[in-house]
Amino acid sequence: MSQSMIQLLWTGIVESLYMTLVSTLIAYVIGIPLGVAVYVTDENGICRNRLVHTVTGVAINLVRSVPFLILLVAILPLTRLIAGTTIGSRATIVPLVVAAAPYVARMAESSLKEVDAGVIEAAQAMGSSPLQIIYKVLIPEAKPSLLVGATISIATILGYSAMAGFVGGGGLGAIAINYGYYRYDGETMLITVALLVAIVQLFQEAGARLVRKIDKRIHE
Amino acid sequence: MEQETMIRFEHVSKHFHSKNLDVHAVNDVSLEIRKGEIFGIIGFSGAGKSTLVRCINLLERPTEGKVFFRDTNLCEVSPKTLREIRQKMGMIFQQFNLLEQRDVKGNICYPLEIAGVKWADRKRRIDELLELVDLTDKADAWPSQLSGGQKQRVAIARALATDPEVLLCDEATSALDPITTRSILELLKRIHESRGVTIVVITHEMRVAQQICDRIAVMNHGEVAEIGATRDIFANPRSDTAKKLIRSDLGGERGGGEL
Repeated sequence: MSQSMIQLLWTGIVESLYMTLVSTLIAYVIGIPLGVAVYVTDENGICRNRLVHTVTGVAINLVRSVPFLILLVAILPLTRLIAGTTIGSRATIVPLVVAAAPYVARMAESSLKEVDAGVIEAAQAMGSSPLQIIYKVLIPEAKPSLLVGATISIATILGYSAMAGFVGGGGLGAIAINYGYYRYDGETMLITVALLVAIVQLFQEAGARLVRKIDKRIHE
Repeated sequence: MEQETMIRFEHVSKHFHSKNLDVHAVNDVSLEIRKGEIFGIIGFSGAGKSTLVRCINLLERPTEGKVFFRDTNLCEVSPKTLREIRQKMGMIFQQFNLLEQRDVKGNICYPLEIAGVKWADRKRRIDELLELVDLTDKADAWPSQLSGGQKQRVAIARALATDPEVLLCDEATSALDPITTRSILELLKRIHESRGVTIVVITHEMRVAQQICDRIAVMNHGEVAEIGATRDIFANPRSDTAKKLIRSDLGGERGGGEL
């Protein structure tokens, strides 16, 4: 493999990681409050609110049901507005966040649902406000599950970021498409795929270790 | 016995509506729980005991009727006031309901954080409470490392952290073996004697009621079948439910207790 190819792949890895991590971070900043909102406004939630529950739920489902590649193209004007351009890895972050935030919201919601209703009831009985229940009970108790969700989200977002290569995004996806697809360069294609797999494995393993470390329920 | 009223129910009903089912969990219950007594609410499963006790701190809002804590009608107060009043009522549960991601002292600390107790005072308070429930050596343990009895002791310490006037016990010993049950009941008794806290005990075990309650209300189908001093009801049960409860419990003992 040529020196320039190694350089190219290295840049691809860095770009892919950059897109994935920054998008995941922003997606969580938006997705966690959304997930909490959907969860607490549920019929049996601590701040029952049908309107908020329905509106957020529908909004999440709407974005979630658009295939990522379509979403990518459909929101190009928004991408240009925010990033100033529609090509490159920085621009890709916009559609990645739009696609990932509702995904994260659903992940967070299902993690929160795992928190024992009895524990929430106990917190209410002790005179906690809804906000205190969210910060001191729901999120800390769901933390291990939220972290498992995060590793799954990262893998999904990395996959999305590779798709963005088709419409001018950067990273390993772009390399796979430009070299492997347009130039029939099977070797490069294979290497990029292997790299993507390795990155996912890495995150998965790191996440699993972290969860084992912080989850106090399996502490024998 | 003082006659000052701590909790008063006036014609309290709680109905649950689901698609094609109307459940009258509590039906027109009026009763008074006096300051400083240990009051039992007993009945078979599904009699509405747990719903009734949840009406005391408004975890369940009554469909009809009024619930008074001292002179305050809880159904009319603001959410903020209700939260303040809840801090004066500790509660323990059958399933303990500890925060799994906090250690023992963290669990006891929780109500202190909610009540806005200063950092310096929290530590001292936690140590006192750990000593009270005899778990000083478990301060740094995680709930998953504790036995059922130890978990309930942590829950009791947590419930008492804010020095409540009332302690609500919802089937607090039902998940425990007879020996652990006895030690938890003895702890409750000791707390009652040393702190004068009013205790409300929900149970389906007559033995538990017999062991610690001053007065009991026997519940059946969401209604109070009988109410009176524990020894009177045991000596001379008037309602069918009370008779059945006493009989079933004796039968259980003859059969060698729970296995």
